[in-house]
Amino acid sequence: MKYPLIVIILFLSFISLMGCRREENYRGVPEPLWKHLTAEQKQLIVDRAYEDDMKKAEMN
Amino acid sequence: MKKIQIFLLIFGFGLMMGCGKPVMPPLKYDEPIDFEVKKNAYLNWEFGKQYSGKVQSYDNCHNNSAGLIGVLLVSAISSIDHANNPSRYTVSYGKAEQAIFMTSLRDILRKNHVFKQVELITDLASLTKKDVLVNVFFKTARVTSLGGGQTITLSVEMIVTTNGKAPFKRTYLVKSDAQGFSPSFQDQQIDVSNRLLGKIIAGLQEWHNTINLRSK
Repeated sequence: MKYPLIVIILFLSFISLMGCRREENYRGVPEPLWKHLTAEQKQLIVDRAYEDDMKKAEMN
Repeated sequence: MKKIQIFLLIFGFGLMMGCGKPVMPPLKYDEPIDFEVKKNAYLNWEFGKQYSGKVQSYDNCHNNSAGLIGVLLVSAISSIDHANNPSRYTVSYGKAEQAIFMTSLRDILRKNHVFKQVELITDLASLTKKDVLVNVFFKTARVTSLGGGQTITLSVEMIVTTNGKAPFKRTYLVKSDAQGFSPSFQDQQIDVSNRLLGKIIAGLQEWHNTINLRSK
């Protein structure tokens, strides 16, 4: 066998771990995008979501 | 066995490629803006409905090149990954892109001294009657997938209100059409954002001309 079994097992485990890791979601923005935003853009999204939640709560 | 190994390598690479999702860069506007409003302006962003498009994944493309074990392995890993990391398999013009658009619009208006002062707000209670409120409502942001590529269509409503005057309302429908060899989804995001930016600035100029005519 060209590749030792342990290498294949490690590689498969790595791929499985990548697939099993659940991405976070911050106020409707997935983690891969969220981490690229500036602090101001994150704050804007959080503030907007807060205002929308308040509006919904008032309506109920 | 060799086929499976090669396939897993391709699949693993594809999976890892999805990890570093690029975000739309801040927008630039090089056209001259030759109007000035001697008032403070506040930009308010509203988020509407979002329709995502699908990304063609590697597991669908190369299923034929692997044996039965490879296909089973990959489909098992892939289904878990689809459930846990939906953003890897979908593309959208969502809150992140809209927040980047709004901060870029604010920066462009500031740089060109269109208003005395420009701020982004979410709470309208702090506004005074003299201020200008520019409300930008992204009614729908839709991504359609066609033949491996994606098109973004935005429907945006802009309402400008000031000093008890009748609101100036415009609705814009813009569609991405990025040119060049195989434009990426980010190219489409930049293209549609620039088109919308041009329309909003033209709309603000139209509003400025309207209030000038009324006051004469």
